[in-house]
Amino acid sequence: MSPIDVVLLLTLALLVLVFLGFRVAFAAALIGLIGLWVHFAIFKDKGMADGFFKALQIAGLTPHSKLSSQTLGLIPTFIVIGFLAYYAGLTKSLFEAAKRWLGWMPGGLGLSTIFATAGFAAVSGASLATSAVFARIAIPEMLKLGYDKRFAGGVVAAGGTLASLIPPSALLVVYAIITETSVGMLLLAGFIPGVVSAIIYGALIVGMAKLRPQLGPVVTGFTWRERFASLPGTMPIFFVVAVIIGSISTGWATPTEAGALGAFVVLMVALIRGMRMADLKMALMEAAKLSAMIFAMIWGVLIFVRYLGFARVPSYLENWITSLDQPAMMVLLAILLIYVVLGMFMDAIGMMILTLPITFPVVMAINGGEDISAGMSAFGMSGEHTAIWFGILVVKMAELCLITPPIGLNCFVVAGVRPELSVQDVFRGASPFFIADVVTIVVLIAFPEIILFLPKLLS
Amino acid sequence: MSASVIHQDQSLLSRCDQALLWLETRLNLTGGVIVLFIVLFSVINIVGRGMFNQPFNAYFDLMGQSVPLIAFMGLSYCQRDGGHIRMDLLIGRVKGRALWVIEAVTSLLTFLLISVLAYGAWLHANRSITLGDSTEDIGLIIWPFKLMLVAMFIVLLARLLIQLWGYARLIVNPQITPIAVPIIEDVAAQAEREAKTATGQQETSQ
Repeated sequence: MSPIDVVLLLTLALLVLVFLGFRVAFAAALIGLIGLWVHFAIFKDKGMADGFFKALQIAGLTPHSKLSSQTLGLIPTFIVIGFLAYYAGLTKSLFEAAKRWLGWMPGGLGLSTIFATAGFAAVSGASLATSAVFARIAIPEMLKLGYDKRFAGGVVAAGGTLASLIPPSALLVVYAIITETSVGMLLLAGFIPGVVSAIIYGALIVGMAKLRPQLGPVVTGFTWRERFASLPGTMPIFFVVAVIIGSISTGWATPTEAGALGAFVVLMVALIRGMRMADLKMALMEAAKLSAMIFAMIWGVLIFVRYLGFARVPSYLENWITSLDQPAMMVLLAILLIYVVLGMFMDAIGMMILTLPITFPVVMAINGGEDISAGMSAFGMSGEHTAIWFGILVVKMAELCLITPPIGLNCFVVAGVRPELSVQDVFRGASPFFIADVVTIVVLIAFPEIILFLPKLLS
Repeated sequence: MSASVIHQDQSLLSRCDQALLWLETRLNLTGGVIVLFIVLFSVINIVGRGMFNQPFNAYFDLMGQSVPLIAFMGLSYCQRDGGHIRMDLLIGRVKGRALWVIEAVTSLLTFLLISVLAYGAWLHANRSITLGDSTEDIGLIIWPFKLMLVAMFIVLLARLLIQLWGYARLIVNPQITPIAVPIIEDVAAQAEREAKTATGQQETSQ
């Protein structure tokens, strides 16, 4: 048995463990530990006892050594922004502003909901919670105005998925850590695709409402004065997004400092709007728990990644994939298709963390390696830019899985909040948005400049 | 994310669960306070650097060491809640003794893994104590932070022991009420709970 045979066997074992319901973080760490043991015991001729001791030394130092980084402080700051955003009362302000500014267009309330959810989801970073909150705020208003109930449910479920691309995005930070890509560049890169996704959703709603006006009537009667009066309540959201993009692009603060500044502003707004001490405690408890969960996945998978590194898997994958002689785009599409299938059964972050150690080196290899120049590469972009481009595509795929059956959680959440809607209703209502997402992904693949424009401009 | 369903009663197992939960809750809250510290310290650093040209020397060192603390303070609390991500698709369909056997086996494997990692982390901390490891900018001694990881692994081991105990009694008699172990909910129930939590928070804030 060669080292690569053992890697394949252990990767299969990892998948079996995950499928059986083993916690992803611990399954990855366990298989990584066993892999290191086998590697040192057999392939480095250290014997079983010494091999095990070497493996436990490496695995034991990985959590602290890999997590002691100022950059990783970004994850809890983004998470705490999400929990505090509830208490800052941003949801109603956003929906009201969006309604006053966009309500006059076909499907006006649906359009307002999409942009309000996009704004709130961007700051909260929590797709499920966004869908839950807007199901309560937006759906009753839409139904009162005679909107189609499936359409209303689908709009809210789909709107919640816009959380992951527009900064602050914890998913992008996780991608950056696993693949050792620049966090700042990734956060910048996510902004335009996030906005493009929201615009494509918006265009879809307008198109559907024009074709079938009974889906959703317009909302009129707001004066310019009323429109402008609705804006101040939404300012914290624009501030958080602007401070993160501005600080990274100008370099006046590190991404972590920018995330912390965003969290500080949202905290102040929440306190001014009456957040109690008990609320703050609850937000901190939930933020700490979610951070521990995400970090456990990171250190668990990094133990597995260490094993893959010792077994020289990245260079093996590079040789193997180039020997296949398949068009690069075909391989990329096959990987994205795997994400669609996995996304139907797995949580977004778990799916990303578990697969990236394999898929990322493959994509880098088919492009020509990490140090390749744009002119020599398969995708027509440098290694650094390919890493950013692929990151945005993967996160977009992770968003997609929130509205795909059988476990598209956003749809379940909306149906859970609104008793008048069945899960099937919401899945049906969200299906046009699934198609819109596929269109967005095709657009992002065909025009990588949409993703790379800001990183190139500001690097 | 929110708490999952965990039953309790007056049994010794439940009292052990509650006693450990007391500790886990405080550790998790400490993790949350460290997050708040990161937020405030970063803002002070920005203001100090931007307005007074006086950045904190200690900033990068303290931030770097804060992250492992946040990562590990809530580790056991999250495990108690069944909060660590897993794929429920298959295990969610298994019922009765078979379910508890799978849960017990995965918990036992996790216990063995964490025992090994705790020992490995101890070796790492011990090396730091011997060598007098410190950070670059302000010479902050690192071994207490590494030792904290070992302590958090030990708390997690205690939690896993309690869960193993909980699963063992369910394997013996699957008809009794599960105590001190998280109960798997189907997707709809999870979604409903998530929705209630989110809208509940919204109600308190507005």
